[in-house]
Amino acid sequence: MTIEAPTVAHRLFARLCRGPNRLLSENGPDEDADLYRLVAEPEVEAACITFFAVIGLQLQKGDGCYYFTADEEPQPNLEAKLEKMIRLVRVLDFLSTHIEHFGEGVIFSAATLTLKCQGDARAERFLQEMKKEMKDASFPERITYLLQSLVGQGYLSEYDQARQEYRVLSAIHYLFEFADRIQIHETETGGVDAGT
Amino acid sequence: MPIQKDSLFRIFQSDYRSVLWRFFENRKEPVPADVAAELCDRPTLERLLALGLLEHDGASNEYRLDDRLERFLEDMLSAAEVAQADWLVALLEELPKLIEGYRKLAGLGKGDTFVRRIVRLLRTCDSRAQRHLEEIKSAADYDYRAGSDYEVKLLKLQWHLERARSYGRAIAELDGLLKSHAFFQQQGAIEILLLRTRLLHRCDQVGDALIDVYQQIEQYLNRVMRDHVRARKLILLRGLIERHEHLPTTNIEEMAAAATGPWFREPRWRTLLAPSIIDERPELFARMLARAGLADATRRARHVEIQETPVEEVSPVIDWQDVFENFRRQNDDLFVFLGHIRVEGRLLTEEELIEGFCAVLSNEDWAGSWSRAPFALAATDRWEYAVVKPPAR
Repeated sequence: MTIEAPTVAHRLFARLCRGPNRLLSENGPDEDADLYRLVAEPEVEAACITFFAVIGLQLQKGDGCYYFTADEEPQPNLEAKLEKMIRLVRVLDFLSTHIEHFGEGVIFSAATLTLKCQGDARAERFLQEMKKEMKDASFPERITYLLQSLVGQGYLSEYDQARQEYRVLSAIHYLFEFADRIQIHETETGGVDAGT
Repeated sequence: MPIQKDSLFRIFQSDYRSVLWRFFENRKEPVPADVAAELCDRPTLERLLALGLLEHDGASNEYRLDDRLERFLEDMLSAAEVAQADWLVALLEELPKLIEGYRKLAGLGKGDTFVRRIVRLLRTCDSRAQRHLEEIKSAADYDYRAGSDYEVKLLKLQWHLERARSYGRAIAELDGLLKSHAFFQQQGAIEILLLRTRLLHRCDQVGDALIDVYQQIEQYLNRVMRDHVRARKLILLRGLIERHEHLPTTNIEEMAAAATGPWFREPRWRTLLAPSIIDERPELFARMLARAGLADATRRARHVEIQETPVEEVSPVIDWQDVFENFRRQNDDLFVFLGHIRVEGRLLTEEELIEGFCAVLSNEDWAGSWSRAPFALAATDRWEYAVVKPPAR
């Protein structure tokens, strides 16, 4: 079988298989948006999926984002994945609660977020638990750490560095999809609402 | 859809909401004092007056909503915008009347006045049709993005959808009128003929564009509903996680087991060791890291239970590069040397001996020396290997 490598294959592989940011967003920084537009062409997308499948990588398309999963990628143990799942819920809950209309394309500033969280015991506890090693860090430092880690992973981008403004990238839908698929079972006593 | 029409009124304190909602519903006419007394009790009425939310006309003894409040509520609830779509409905009612008037008076030579009014109406229609469509689109866009109250958003978007649909129906009616009414078939005035052609084209354009508008609004509605459900779910999940009840009451565990993608990816060491060793033999991996000087010295060793495979049956991890380096520094034959090697306190098994022999032979440093020397091949039932004498002393 002969498979012709799509012209964007190299760029796509280099973008999605190196470093901590492994999500390509439709509304990402210029180069990302350009690459997304190229890959999103139906023929190019199909060619990329076929090409990468041969080397054991599945090109996955989310709502406004692309990422790879590997066929034989060794998975972390269940305990670690469960921790990550809970972290995902708590991060989304924190951001949805404190950023008005949190979703793709929304621009917010770290200062406003800090102001909204200050005095909120629940938010303070969440930020402390997120990075226990930062014992002596101030409240704004903890928020900056959280936002920077999300920037590093490709869920946010720095919109205005000087004013510490961030923009939510379309890769956030990858996290939303997990939250949407969580189901809360109704207990026999009817204590918990259905989560569909 | 579970939307409360008066959800916007939650900005007022609870005992004022229903009263203000009733006054808002009756905003077109002032409310007489006796009717106002039925809408709410006297103290509430006085408090609303004191707050300036209601106005009282002493002469006629009538009540009405404060003008600014009324305008604010109308804007917020898009009531005024919905009413804007009425222009086309009114035009469609007036047009047949004018045509009928023209038909009756044409014979008397007074039909021209009606024709002029018909032309004016058709021109109005032509200029407003596209603008109205743009207004619906921009209002839907704005209401989708502005504000954070999901119920208000849903309410507004649903109104925009209804407004777009009623507009679509009116445009279809206009299209039918222009195509099939005898007046437009018989009328020979060039101005009317041109206007009719242009308007028919406009109706086609608006009809096509409206399909996109419906889809866009429905997409917005779905997104807002999904966001609303998600926000409620996240609040519930937060409570369950804080009470440690998330495992029995949700499918988080199943989802975590099946989850893949960037959020769940663990950073991995780049090493020549098989991934299975790194994943399944953490104690051996830790030793390898320690030997490479990468182990965390402050971290205490911890016991790891290995299930299914007894410890003694698990083969050790042997760094054959390390073996090769030691071999180079001595004078024995390779097989003799390997025969003395101890791993985890025991000698190598025959299989490990052959494996080591092959590993050392395939070492890049060694390759340079044996490529120039002849060697013999030998085989066991599972391995084929080169029999190589060590370099001359």
